[in-house]
Amino acid sequence: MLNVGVIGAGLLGARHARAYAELAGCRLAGVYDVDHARAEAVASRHGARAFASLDDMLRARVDAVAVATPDHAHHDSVMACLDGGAHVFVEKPLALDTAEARAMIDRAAERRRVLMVNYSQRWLPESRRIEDLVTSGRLGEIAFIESHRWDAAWVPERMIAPWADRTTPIHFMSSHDIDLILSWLGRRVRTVYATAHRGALSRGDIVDGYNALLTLEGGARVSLHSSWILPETFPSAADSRFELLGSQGAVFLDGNRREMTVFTSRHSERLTFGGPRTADEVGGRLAGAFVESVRAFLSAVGADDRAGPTSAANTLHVVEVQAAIVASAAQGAEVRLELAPERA
Amino acid sequence: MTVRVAVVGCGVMGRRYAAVLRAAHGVEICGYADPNPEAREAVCRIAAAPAFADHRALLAEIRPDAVCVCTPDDRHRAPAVDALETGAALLVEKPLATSVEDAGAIERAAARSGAVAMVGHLLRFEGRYAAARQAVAAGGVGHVHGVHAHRYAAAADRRRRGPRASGLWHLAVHDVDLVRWITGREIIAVAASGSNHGDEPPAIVAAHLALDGGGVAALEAAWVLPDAFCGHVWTGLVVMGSTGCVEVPSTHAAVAAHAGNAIVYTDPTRFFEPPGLPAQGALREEIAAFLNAVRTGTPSPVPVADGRRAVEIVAALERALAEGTRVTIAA
Repeated sequence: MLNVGVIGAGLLGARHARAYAELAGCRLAGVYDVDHARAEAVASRHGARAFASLDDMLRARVDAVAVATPDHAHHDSVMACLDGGAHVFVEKPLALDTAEARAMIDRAAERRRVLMVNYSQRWLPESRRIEDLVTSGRLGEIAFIESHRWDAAWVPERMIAPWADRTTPIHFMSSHDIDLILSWLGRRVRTVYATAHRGALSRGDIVDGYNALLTLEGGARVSLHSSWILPETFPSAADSRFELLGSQGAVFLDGNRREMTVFTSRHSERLTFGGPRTADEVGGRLAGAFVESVRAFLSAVGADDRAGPTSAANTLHVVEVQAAIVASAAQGAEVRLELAPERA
Repeated sequence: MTVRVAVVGCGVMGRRYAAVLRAAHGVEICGYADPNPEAREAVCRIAAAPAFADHRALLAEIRPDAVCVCTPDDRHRAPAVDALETGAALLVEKPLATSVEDAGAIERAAARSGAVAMVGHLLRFEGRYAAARQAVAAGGVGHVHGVHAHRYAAAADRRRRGPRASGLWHLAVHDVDLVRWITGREIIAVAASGSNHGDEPPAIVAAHLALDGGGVAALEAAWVLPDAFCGHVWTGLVVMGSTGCVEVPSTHAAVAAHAGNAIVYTDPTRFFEPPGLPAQGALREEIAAFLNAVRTGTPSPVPVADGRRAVEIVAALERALAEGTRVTIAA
């Protein structure tokens, strides 16, 4: 039975807490938040403790900790947990800064602890289907990917208003897309050209969005769009799309409607994906890709598997690409990534 | 009054023009020109008329009221300028030209002649885009901050056109014009990324167009849809503004026929000739708008200056792609 603590009692922290309270093989040890009342509110729903400090949580012999603090505040919590001997499941983005990400990965290796990032969208069945299509070779050589993720303006302006200026849409939303694309293709990004746009949000200190053009090893091109300025009138809070064009086939996914159109040399089909999406309540319990991702973390801890596909070490390149996008937009010039040889 | 119209360039587009003109009221197809005898024969089967190998012979002998130029993209200048110099009205296929120099020459000839001179930016005559433009103009979306447009076409179509076919000049030029026309804003700088295979023109281009007054239009053109994709194009366009957005959904206009293991798309919105019925679609609307301007002496529905600007922007995209830099475009 794994004792799991949760740091951060916001939307995602509450979701983590509920998952550990509901899943077999683990128990929710308690919740910590700098705002004690918030921690109390989440913990009490599950009959768990609200810790007064992070040290208190670590002294309570937690085996693992889920870090769900704001995007910019992952590093200190993750380091403290690793030093305290806990395995760590950290919300995406791992970090905004590549050096911070590397420090966390190195510390996890030193302490021999699992450090895994919650790239929950990998567990969506539609993501898995695209992965199968790409890796089986049925689409041929992928030449072009277009992807967008758009959120409503109320996300930066209200939902995460206290810290929206500390993150970017490329980190807050598009971590998923970058991770998915890199994982599907198994290739790294060589060059990035990106532009940032401003002026739509009422607060000038928050970037509206980014458009980024990526060139991957082998020549595939990716056009990535990320913005959080959808007006209130847009019929959903978020919108996402993936379009992959290969030499033998193509796949178009409307992430919102969960409709996929697949063309291959032998077959065309239109699929609609059902069931719980990221985190829906089914039969009074949380279900969906988020829960599957949590299960994968718990399995990794149980098996002491520190090198899984969504381990921080294996997804560091996502952070590097995000940093390159922000840098390119700031410089108004293409950024070439220095690609170190793959880590063994 | 009957308008006597000639068609120069009798390939796929020339034949489509002939099919539309054949069904138009008050039009006489008075002649064709194409150096290829098979192309001349094929277009004469649609509607019989004197056919010449050289457009200059056509202009000298027939003296048409109006000329439609459907020659290959990089060969518009000579027939367009020559037609204008005879005083004929001109409808020239998009892109107006494939160089800023040629576009300028045609624009100057149009200014000298004073005849109606129009560029066939077809999608302005497709109802969905006109509706999107109207929605933006009505003001409901507020200040436009972003546009996102993609246009994918079949690799087989590109192969048919040969190694010089460019995703920029053939596909992206549509969206470059649509962005300007729908938003009413000028494009002042561009950056682009794309695939390069040796010195072939790019099949894939992703571009960022900076709008005057702030905002970015993101464009994707990919001429690589696999043969398995049995449709002609896959497109989508979204305009995002401060208080709303306008969406032209992907493939909305296509009819999907589920045939065996494949989905076969037919898009009747641009050009479609149902058996026993006149040709229909945006091309008919475009040609009707041209003929109306010729008859009534009203301004060109798509002025040559707009076509020239689209050429300048696409040429800038070509440079941005080749040099990997952001290129600003003089007003």
